[in-house]
Amino acid sequence: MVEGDLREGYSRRRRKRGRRAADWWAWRQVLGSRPLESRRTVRRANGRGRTLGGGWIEDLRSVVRRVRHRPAVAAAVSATVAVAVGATTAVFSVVNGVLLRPLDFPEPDRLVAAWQTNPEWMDHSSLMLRNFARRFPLSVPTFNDWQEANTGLESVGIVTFEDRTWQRPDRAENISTLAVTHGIFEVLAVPPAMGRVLLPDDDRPGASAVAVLSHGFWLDRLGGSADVLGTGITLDGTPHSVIGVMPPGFAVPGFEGAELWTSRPEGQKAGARDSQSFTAIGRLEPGATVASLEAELGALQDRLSERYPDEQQDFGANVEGLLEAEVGGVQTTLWFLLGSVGLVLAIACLNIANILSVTGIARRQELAVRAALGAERGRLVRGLLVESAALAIFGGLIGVVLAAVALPGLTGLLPPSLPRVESVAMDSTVLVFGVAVTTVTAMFVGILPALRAARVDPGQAMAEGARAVAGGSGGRARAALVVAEVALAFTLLVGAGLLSRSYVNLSTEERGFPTAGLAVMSVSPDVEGYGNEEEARAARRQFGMELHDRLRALPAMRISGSNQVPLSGSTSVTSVDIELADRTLVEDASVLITVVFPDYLDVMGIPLLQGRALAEADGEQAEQVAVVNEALANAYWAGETAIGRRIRDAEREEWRTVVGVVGDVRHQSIREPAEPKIYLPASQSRRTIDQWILRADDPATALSRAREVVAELSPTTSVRREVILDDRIAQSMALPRFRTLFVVSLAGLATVLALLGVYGVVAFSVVQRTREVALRLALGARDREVVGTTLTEGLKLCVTGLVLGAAITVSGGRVLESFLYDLPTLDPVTYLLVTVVVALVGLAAGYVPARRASRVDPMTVLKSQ
Amino acid sequence: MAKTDHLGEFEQLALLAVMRLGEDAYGARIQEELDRTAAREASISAIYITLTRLEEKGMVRSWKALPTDERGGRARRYFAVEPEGVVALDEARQRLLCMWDGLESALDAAAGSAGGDGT
Repeated sequence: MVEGDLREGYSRRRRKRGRRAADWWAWRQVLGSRPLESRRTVRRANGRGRTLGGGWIEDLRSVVRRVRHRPAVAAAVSATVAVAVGATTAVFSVVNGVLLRPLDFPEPDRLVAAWQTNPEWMDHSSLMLRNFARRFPLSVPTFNDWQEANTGLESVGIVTFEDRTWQRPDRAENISTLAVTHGIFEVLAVPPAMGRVLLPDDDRPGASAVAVLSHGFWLDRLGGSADVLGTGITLDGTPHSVIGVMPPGFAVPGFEGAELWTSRPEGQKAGARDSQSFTAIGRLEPGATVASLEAELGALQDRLSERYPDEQQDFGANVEGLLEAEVGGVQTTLWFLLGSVGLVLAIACLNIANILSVTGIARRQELAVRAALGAERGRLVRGLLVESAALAIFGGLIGVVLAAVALPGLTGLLPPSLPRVESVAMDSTVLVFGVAVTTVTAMFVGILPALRAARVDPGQAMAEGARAVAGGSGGRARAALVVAEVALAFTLLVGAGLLSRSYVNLSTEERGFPTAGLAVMSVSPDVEGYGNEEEARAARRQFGMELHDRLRALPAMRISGSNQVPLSGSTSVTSVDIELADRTLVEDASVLITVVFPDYLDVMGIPLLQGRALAEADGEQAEQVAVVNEALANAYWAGETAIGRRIRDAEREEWRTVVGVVGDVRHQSIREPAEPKIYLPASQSRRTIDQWILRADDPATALSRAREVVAELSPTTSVRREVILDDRIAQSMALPRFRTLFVVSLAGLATVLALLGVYGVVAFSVVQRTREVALRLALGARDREVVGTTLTEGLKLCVTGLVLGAAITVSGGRVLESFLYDLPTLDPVTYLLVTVVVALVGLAAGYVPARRASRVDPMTVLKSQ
Repeated sequence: MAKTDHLGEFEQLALLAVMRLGEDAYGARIQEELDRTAAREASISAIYITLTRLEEKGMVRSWKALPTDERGGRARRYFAVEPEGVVALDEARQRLLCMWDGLESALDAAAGSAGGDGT
């Protein structure tokens, strides 16, 4: 009907006054038109008839009209929601995939991992050692005791990583394998794709060695041949018979990356109670819990502690759910990241509530008119709610789509050390989360503006027009929103500041030696076929000498050897007796023991502080000597010279004389302070040199040349591990770096949002006060004073937000504690910097409106009012 | 049912326009009439809202005519004033005249200054 009249009016005007005039008229008609709600409202008031759908469709139509009318507001609201909901959903999908999604095994809740606890390092200063002590591996005899005790486990097995040399007809290759007992397959209950898995008989002493292949290994390395079952594969000189192939994707949780699984190899000191290298994985009996199992195993460990005081005195038991055991290390980080992105979402919501509240005020007159025309207040509120909800839901849905599109990219950015990355995906849980977040957002952003609008007093609003809100409660409510926004942004900025400073601390930490250009190669010679241990050791030594000579002949690199190299992942801790200055003994002091070629300290670049370095002259028959690091010298001979003091290592060899003191190096990780360490000449120790360090301009090329040399020397020997030190350090810093970059970018986003928020409030209040400003200017106020008051307004908001934010961070800063390296959570520098940033934001946000206010032309404004 | 309802200014204008147009009183024409005679620019929807409300009160009635090409095949909705509408208009007129009574000279004295709203 109305449309017909519009068409008729348009064509008539076009005939009489031309197209432009008709177009202009049509626009004014569209913009000025209102929904025909009054008709229905009146009808309802009169008790006659009800509207279909309760007027929702009209509400939606009105939203569409308003979006056309104010596309910028609609776009700003939807885009902000899209970015915030998208980011939150994407981060949640990572949390969901890594932490929440159950393991992909039957009844995954019943799977547990169990270790011993070793009291020796439970309170050690090194976090790595503390963690190791909490998850201390089992020996085979202890496992057998656990199994016999028949605790609350339906089935249980043990597993450990083993790098093995795979001897192929033409060459030797290093592969990563797991040594397992049949229980592991029983616990995980995944049937093989081909053949069979390990059975109890495979674990009996004297059984022949068997191997189960991963799908990838079978396909890529053995060509996926169907008759692989029953064939042999030689690992470290021992033939293993292939009995099965697992389905694609199968892995023992926490032990990913293995190419095949072998039965527990014979002769590997399997019987020794102090040969502890296994993790137990089990399936709880129905009704048993992690706690009940831990209590039972703890009681058992107490009995074993009495029976075997030498090997496991005071050892306890530690049981964790298998999923928790696998992802426990990244749990805090991921929840923290989700919390941070949630803060940004909250800031975005506050911002949108603010925008809507401002546009709501601009519409006060319209609402007043509608109220006057008889629209119910509830209807008006609902209309506003529908409008904000529609915009937010639209934005939220775009956000969820954005998250889905961006997810592969985001997963690529995740640090490689993050477990279960492959299970990160958009699944139904993520979708439900995205929809829930969108819904909450929609309700949150709409409720305040709608309630404020509901309190419109038609008479007053009509009289005041859209101008009289400056100091009123509306202004206060919006100021409160912005203060909350600034407080949250402050919180994120403090987090970002702390993490950045901690990251800088970590990356500039003195390592004790130059890591650039340093590579480490681990070689374990094939000594199969030597009758006894003594012969094998001699063969190893011989191999080492020859390899040393050949590697030395290579151009453009310096080489040396050791049994362990700092920051490369190998650690050998031992106990020594140390003679103090007063000739008393400290027995069983825990130190790192490093056996080296004489040129090691030189090639590594570790500085000599006192005495002399090791030399070629320190041969087998010469005086037994050692060099110690500064940490050891300070710990035992503080304030005196270390030279000439004596040390005896746990093998109870003869006493050694300290001939030199060298600088400390970080050994286990850059985070761990240097521990006491002794360096022994290789010629005076029974330990084998199997780590080769290469220093070259191009460590990757140096490694490949060295690998060729190994293959030439012994075709059946593989290179176990190759590490370029700087790469490894970068890897170890990948998680902190990711965490830092992530929070820094979120803080940046939060700052921009807060800036816009403050700007919005100040700018709007300037518009509201144009008349007042004009009056003041007309009465002789100076530009500078006007600028000053406006700037102060922005600053005030920021300072209040800052105080609130500081209260939040001071009370909640402990969340960050475990992420910080060498930095207190209340670091004054960070707080100062962030305060300055927030103050600058306040000034910047106030500056533009302030300039605008000062340029008001009093005459024009006053005349127009 | 609402004999004693007071008419607003725009309601009066709309009723008067319908009366003036007689048998030609439909949306677009009423809009034109308001613009031409009362210098009042009103949107079509505002006119419909008002007249629909008056119809609810029994002061006007409306009916649909055949669709025309000029209107894109859409029907016109014609309005006519009911006796109750005429009574209400008359009451409103009387009230205003009473209020103006004796004020004409004062109006002349303040010559030049423009008048305001009637509500």
